[in-house]
Amino acid sequence: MDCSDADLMLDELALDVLPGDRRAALLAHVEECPNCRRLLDQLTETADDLLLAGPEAAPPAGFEDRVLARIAQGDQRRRPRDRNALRLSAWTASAAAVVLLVVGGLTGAVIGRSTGGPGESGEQLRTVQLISASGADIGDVSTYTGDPSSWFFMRVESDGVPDATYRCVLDMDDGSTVAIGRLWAVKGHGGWGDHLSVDPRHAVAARLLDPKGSTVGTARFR
Amino acid sequence: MAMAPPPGGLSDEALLAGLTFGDPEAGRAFVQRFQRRVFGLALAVLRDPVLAEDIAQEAFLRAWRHGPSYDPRRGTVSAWLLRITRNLAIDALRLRRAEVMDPEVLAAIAPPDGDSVEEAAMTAATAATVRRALRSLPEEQARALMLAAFYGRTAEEISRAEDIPLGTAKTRIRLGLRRIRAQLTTAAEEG
Repeated sequence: MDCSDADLMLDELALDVLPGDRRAALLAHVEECPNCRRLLDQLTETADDLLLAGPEAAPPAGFEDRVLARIAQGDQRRRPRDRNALRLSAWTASAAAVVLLVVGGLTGAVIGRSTGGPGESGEQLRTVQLISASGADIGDVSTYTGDPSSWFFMRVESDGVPDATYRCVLDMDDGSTVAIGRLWAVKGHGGWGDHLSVDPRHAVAARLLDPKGSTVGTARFR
Repeated sequence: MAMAPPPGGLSDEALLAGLTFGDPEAGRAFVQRFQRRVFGLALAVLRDPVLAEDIAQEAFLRAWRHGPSYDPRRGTVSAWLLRITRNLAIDALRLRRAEVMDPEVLAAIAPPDGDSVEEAAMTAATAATVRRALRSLPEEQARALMLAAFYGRTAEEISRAEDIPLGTAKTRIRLGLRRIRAQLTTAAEEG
């Protein structure tokens, strides 16, 4: 597919009405073509603006309560989350360690709290402070190195952290940076954890990035 | 970039995060902020208040359930939520094989009154520009665009419904969307 072919279909893709057979081919082209990707982004934004310009109407009385009641019901029936992903609101580092043990299925494992570094064998849990660019303590990061599972938790606890969606990354000792996931901070609180696909013993630091990609906080393991 | 909170409240992203985390205050504020848009869109597509409320409730439920998948790089919280609503409404419409509202009627529906405390000035200005742009389009382009945007009709379906060649349907959608885009860009540049 070339750009002239793609151009004929980008609008339908942006409006989410392009049939599946053509969609896959177009998406493959867009992935490789920055110009088409940029145009698709612009057209998608316009398609969103169309929806935003749609009519408003007041729902029937009591709508809010019914929605919240359904959410509350859903929360009670919610199945245990995928073992590979957890979302937590504010929690303490010790509680995080307990969760690591439970979720990682590590009953019976020998755990020792350590400052640990690469090369150390055996399972290890370590927690380091998350420090902002100005030197303030804004939370902490816990990693657990286990077999077969390793885990990562970042906790933010600081009024100085604006409400936003942040990204968590690990800086590895081979110079690479690995994206771990996203953390949402609300009113200075947030937490996020996940199973790790890399060995945390080779992590030099964990960083919290704001939506612009700037480092908001760093937790140094070495 | 985290949006500056509108007067008197947290940003849309913060409220979505609060909804997802189970903060009851944030959850209620989130529903209050978006319920008119969500219900309004569902009602416009379905023309059935009972079904529209069901769809609107489901949209908020999905926002709660799928909140972590929201990616701010791909659009605003409003747009994300309205896309969820639109897709649910379209699915319901197809299930019921209900007749599509004449998109000209949809386009003529009274616009939001803009009195919502939470509505950012920028969103209101954009919405006003979009409505003006829609009215300025040739009728056939506006119709094709509304059928696609609000009712999820593919070019093939529009071609059959309007008894026009497929290429014509595609062109109407494309030209319509690009003209809207151009007017929004001009309006943004003029500040």
